Amino acid sequence: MQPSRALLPILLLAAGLAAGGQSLSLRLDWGGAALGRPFPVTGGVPFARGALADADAVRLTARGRPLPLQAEVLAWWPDGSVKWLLLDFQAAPGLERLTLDYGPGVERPPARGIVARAEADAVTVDTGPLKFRVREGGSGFIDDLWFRGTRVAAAGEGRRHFMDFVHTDSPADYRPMSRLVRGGRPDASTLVVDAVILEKRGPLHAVVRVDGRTTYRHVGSTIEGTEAKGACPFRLRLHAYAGQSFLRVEHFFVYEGDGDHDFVRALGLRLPLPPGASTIRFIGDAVVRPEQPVAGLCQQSADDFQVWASDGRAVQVVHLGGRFEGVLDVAGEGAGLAMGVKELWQNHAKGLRADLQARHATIYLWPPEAPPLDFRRHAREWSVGETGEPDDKRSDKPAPFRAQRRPNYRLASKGTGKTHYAFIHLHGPEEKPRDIRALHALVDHRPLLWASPAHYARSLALGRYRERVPGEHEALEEALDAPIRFWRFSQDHFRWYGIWLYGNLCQCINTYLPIGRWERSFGRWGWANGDSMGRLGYALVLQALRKCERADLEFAESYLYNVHDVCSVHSPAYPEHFGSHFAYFKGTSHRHGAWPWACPYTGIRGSHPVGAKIYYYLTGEGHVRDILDEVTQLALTRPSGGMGDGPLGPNAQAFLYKWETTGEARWREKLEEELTGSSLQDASGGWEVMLHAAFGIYNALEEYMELTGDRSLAPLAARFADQAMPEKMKRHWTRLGYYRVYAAAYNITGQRKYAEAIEQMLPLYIEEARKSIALKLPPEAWPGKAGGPRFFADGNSIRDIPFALYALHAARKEGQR
Amino acid sequence: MRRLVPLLALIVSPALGAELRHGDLALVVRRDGCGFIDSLRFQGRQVAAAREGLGAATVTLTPAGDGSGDSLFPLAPAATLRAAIERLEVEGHALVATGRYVGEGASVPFARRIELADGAVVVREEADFSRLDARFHVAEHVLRLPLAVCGDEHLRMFAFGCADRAELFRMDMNDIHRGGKQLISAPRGHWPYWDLGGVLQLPTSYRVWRANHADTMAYPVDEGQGAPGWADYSEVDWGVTAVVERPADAAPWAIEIDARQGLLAIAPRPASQLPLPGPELGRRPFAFRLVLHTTSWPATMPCELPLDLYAALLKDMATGRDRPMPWVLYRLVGTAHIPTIIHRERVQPSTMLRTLYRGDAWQMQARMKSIGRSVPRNQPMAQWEEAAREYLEVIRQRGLP
Repeated sequence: MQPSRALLPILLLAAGLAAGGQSLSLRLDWGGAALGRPFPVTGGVPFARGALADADAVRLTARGRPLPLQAEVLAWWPDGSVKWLLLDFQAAPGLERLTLDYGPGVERPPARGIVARAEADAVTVDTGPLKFRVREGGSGFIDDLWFRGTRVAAAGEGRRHFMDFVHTDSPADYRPMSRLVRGGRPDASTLVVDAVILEKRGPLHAVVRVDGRTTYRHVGSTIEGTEAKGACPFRLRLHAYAGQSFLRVEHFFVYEGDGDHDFVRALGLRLPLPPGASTIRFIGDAVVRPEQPVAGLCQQSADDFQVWASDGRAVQVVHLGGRFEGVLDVAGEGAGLAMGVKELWQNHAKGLRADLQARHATIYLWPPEAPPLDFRRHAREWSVGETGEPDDKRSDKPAPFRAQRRPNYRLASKGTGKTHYAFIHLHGPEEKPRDIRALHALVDHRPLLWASPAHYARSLALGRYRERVPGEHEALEEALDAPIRFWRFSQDHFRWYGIWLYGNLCQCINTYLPIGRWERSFGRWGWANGDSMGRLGYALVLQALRKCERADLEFAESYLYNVHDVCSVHSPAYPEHFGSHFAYFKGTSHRHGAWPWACPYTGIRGSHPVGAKIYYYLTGEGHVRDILDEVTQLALTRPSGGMGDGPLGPNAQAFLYKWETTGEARWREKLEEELTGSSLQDASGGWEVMLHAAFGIYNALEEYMELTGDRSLAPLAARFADQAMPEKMKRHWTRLGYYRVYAAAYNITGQRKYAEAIEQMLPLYIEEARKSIALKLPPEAWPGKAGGPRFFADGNSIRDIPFALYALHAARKEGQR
Repeated sequence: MRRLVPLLALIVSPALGAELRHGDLALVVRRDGCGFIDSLRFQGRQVAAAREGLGAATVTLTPAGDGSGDSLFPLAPAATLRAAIERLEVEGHALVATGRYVGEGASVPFARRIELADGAVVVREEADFSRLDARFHVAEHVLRLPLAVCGDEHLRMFAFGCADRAELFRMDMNDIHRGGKQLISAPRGHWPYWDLGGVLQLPTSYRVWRANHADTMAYPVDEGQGAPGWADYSEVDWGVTAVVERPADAAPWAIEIDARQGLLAIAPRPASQLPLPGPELGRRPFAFRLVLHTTSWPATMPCELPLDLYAALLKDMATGRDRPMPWVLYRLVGTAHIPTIIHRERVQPSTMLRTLYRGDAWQMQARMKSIGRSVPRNQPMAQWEEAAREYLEVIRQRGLP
C-alpha cells in the first residue's frame, strides 16, 4: 500500500530523510572474518556531480538504525559538490547491508569516541580503553601508553623504532644466500623525529603521523657527489579507533645507502610488555607456547616459518610451520599485548619476538634471524634490453657498466622504499586467542565497503566506463579477466613473494625462451614494474571496481604498493642513468627490469598516478596520498617526468588529482596549461599517437572537457582521434591501444564513426587474447608446459575497453532513438 | 656389445689415504688432504681435484648469545673449523673416514662413508655437534668439491630440480640471439653472467636462485613446495648431478654451484639459516649421491630421445619441403645450431615440437600422417599433447619416418 501524500514528510523525517534526500545501498565484505564485536570500517563512496552538496548531509543506517559516522571529503566536483566521501564507522562482522542516506535535509546523530589532542611537543590520543602519546624528540613510535588507565609504557625506556645496518668494506664480504658477513661493521640507527602531526582527529578514527629519519655512522659513507645520503627517511602513521584497544600502524621507510655496502640487519618496532604479561604464545592455525623467556617467530620464505625459544644464550627451534597468519601475544593476569604484520608471509622475511627478560616485544619488519636485507643490483652487467644500452651492442660478451659512464650503478636501489602495516593490540585477560586472531585477520584483510558496480560507473566519478554486467559481452569480459586470473594464479604458483617482489608481475612466458615459466630475468620483459604492461595499476583497480570483488582489489593493492614503493625512487637525489650526476627523480619509477630497481630508466610513466588515485578514493590510505603528492611534486619540479613522459599524460593526471582533491583553481590552471601545451596537436603515426593515448594526456583532455564544459578543445580531440582510426592503425602493432581514444572522441563529438571504430576493433582484442595461455589452456592445466602458448595481456587495453563499452552502449542507445 | 664394468679396486695406505675405483670412477681421499674428496676421475678424466688452501669440508661457528635476546643472531663468524681426517678404513666396498672439524679450540667429530655404486659417489656424512663448546652456535656445515671446469664460460651449465620441471641456465648465455620485438639491445642479448646458482631446501619448500657474481645478490629464480632435491653442473660431454637422499626430511640443506670458481658445495647446514647450538643440532646424518654422466643432460633429467635421433629430428624440423628452414629453429630458440639446442640449451624434444606448433595442428598433421595417424586441425592443447607424445614414442621405437 502506498503511503498517502500527507504522511510522506512525516515518514521521511522519521527515517531521518528529508524531502530531496536520496539513498544508496552499500555492502560490507568481511572476507569471512568472525569477530563477535564491532570493528572499524573505512571506505570511500563516489557521488554523481551535484548529488551531495554538503558532506554533513549523510547518514548511515543498518537495519533501520543509524550508525555513528565520521565522514571526510576526499574529492570534489568543480561545482563544489562531493565527488568522493570517505566513511569511517564501526560494524559487527556479519552485518552486510547498509544504507547511506544523503542530500538535502539528511542529518546524522553526532558521533563521539576519540579524544585527540595536539600539543606543542606531542600528540595524545585516547580511544577509551587505550591512550597513547607520541612525542617530538621521542622514540619515533609510541612513547607513552596506557591501557584501561594503567600505564604500559613510559617515554625513554629503550629504543622503540630502529633500522640497524651492517656496513661492509666490500660487497664480497657478504655472499649471496648466506647470513654470514665477514668483517661487517654493525651500524645501529639513531632516530630523529622531525614532526608529529595529528592528521585525523576522530571522533571515530584518528591518525597520528610521525615523520623522521634514521641516521648512521657508516651508511652512505661510500657515496660521493651528493649530500642526500645515509639518513633514511621514515613515515609512520598510527591509526586509532574509538572504543578499540588496537592500533593499525603504517610504516614506510626509504633506503639512502650504498647498495654494495649497506645492508639492513634489523628493522623493528618495539613496545614494553604490560606489567604481569608473562606467557608468550604465537596464535596462528595452532597456538604455540614456547617455554623460554625469549621467543621468536621467523617467516623466512612464503612457505616456511619457525618458532624458536631461548634463554638468551642458546636457541632452540620449537615449531615449524608454513604460512603464518596470526600474531605474537604476551598475556598475563593483567593486560596482554598482541602484535602482527599484515601479509606477513607474503612480505617475508618477517619476525615477531617477545623478550620476558628485557620486558619488550618487537615486530621485525626485517628480522635479524634472516640474511641481511640486500640492496645490491642483481648484476654488474647490463641485462637484455635495459634502457641505456651497453656501449657495444654487438659484443658477445656481457657488457659491464663502465666506470666512466655508469659509476653509480651500485646505487640503483637508492631511494627505494617499502610500506608495511602492523597491528598492535592491548587486551585484558578475558580476551580469547581466537578473538585476537580474528581482530588481526581484519587488519590483515580489511573489511571492504562496496557500493554496487553500477553506482561506481554511473556516478561518472571515474569517467565514462561501463561496469561488468553479467551476461553482457561475455567473450570480451573473459578476455579482460583471464590474464588477471592467470597472474593471480602465477603469483602463488611461482611465489612472487618477498619484501621486494610481492605485488610485482612478470610479463612473458614462452616468449623468448621455451621454458614454460615467466622470463623474470629478462631485462626489458622481466618484471612489469608499473610500466612495461601499460598502466596496469589503473587497469587492475578498475577491473576490481567493475565487479566489486575482494580478490581483485587486494591483487591490485599489492601491485600498486610494489610499483609505488619498491620500484620507485623516493630520494631527492638519484644518479641519473647511474652516472655521476645526481638529480631530482623523486616520484619516478624504474621502467622495467630483471629486478625492481634494475633499469637505469626512472620516469613518471611507471609511477602513473591514476590507479593509486582510485585506490586512495576507495580507502583513504595516507600513504597512497603521499605517493600521489610525491608524483605531483615531480610533475611540478621536473615536468619531463624524469625521462620525457610527463607531458604525455602523467603530469596532467597528477594535476587533475590535485584539482579534485583540493578544489583549488591553480590546479585547474596547471591542467589547462598541460593540455594546451601538449603535443596532441602534432601527434601522428603509430608510435606517437600510441604514447599520447597510453600515458593519459588524451584521457585527461576528455576529463577536463567533461568537468569544465569547455568545448574549445573539441576540434583537437577529434583531430587526434582521427589519427588513431582503424584504417590507419589496424595493421600497426599498436592497434589495440586506442579503445579509449575512440570512446572519448565519441563522448566529445557524438560522431558515430568513433563508435564504429570500437565495434570494428574489439574483436581483434578477443582474437589476440584467445591465443594467450590464459585462454588457450584451461585453468587446471596452468601454467602449461615449456614451449606452450605464450601470455598476452595489455594493461592499456584492459584499462580502456570498459570506457569503450560505455561509448558503445551510448551509441547504440542513441541509434535506437 | 655391453661394456664390462671393472671390479672394485681399493688400495689403502693408512699413512697416505685411499683410492676407490669402480667402473668409470676413481676417487682418492688423502689423510692429510683437503678433508673431503681429493681427486675424482671419471672415464679417465679429472673432474675434481683438491685445491691448495681451500677447506673442502668446514663448519663455521658464530658466538652464542650473551644472555640478551638481541645477541642471539650475530652475522660475523667466530671460527671456521676444517675437517681433519684421523682414520681411514675400508668397510666392504666403502671407505669410512672419521675425524674432527677443528679450529679455535672447538671441535666437531664426524664420520663419513664414501662408496662408489652405479656410476655414482655416495656420501653419508654424520657430524656430531652434540658436544660443541657452548660458546658457539653452528652457522654452516659444508662439503665442497672443487670441479675441473673448462675454459669456455658458455659451456659451464647449471640445472636445478624444481617442483614440476628443471631450471636450466648457463654461466654465459650471450652466444645465441634471443629474438623478439623491441629488444633495445638487439641483436645481442646481453644477459648478465650467472656465476653462481643454488638451491635452498626448507622443511616444506625450496628456493632456486642464481647470482651474477659472488658479491651480488641472490636472484630468486623459482620457489615452490616440495623437495626436488637435486642440482647439476654440466659441460658438453660430462656433468655431475648431486642428489640429496630423503631431501624433505634432511631439510634445511643447500647446494651451491660456483661455475666461475668451479665449486660444488653441499651444505648439510646452510649459512642462510639460524645459527643453532650444537646440542640442538645433535648428530646430523646427511646423505647424497654425486652422479657422473657423459652428456650435458643431468642424470635426473635425461633427454626424451637418444641424442642422435634428436639431432635427426631437429634437422628434419629445420628442413622445408622445398627449401631449408633453419630460421624456424632460429626463431624459436635463438639458434639454428643443432648441437647448441641439444647440448647447451638442452631443450627437450617435446618442448621443441610444442614450441614449433604451439597447438596449431597443421604441421603436426603432416608428422602424424607420416606415422600413419590422422589428427584434426586446431584441436585443444591437451589433445595436441597426446598426439605429440605418440609421435615421440613412435620415432623412439622406429626412428624418424
